[in-house]
Amino acid sequence: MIKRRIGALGIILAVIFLAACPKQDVIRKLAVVSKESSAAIKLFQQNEIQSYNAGLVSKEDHKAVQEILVSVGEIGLALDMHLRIAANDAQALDGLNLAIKDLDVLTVEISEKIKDESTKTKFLIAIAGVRSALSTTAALLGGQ
Amino acid sequence: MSDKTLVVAQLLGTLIPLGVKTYTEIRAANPSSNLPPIEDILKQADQNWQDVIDAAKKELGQT
Repeated sequence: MIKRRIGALGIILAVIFLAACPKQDVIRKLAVVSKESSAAIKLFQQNEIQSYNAGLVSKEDHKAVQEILVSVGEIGLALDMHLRIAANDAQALDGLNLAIKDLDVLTVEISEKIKDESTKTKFLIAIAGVRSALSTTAALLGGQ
Repeated sequence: MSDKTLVVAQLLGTLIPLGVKTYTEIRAANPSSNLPPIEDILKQADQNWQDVIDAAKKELGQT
């Protein structure tokens, strides 16, 4: 009787520990995706500012790019906050899918607001890279 | 308190600390435990996102 109880409790404890490990791994992977994405966007922004200062980007396009980058930054901060409070994989996935939807809206804005084809293409590639990293992670988690 | 309840309580009292100790030891021996804490990664991400926002606002103030 006691052996069976020890066995049952052992299984319960093992399940608790195993359940805890993947969650941390998933959140860690998503945190790394956010960090890498933010670094890539920051680099794009620095290049765009240099191009604008060199007279290669119009004032209107520069303003549109920076306005959209404010939104991109806010999406990133919201994702990080979501990852901090996520209690499980499903909640982490919710935050991820929300960020992907917001980025899709911004992709349309980039296409509509930015006139210069070169600037538009570079910005779309940068956003597509972030979206791709997020959607690949979402797919691995069983989402989109 | 019945005998059965007492036995279960004693088992829990023994197994839970043992499980926590084992888990802690496994984590300490696991190379992945040397990875930076998730909060540190998120702080770096936050800093980068905030840098993007601040730089964009600065640029918008100039245009």
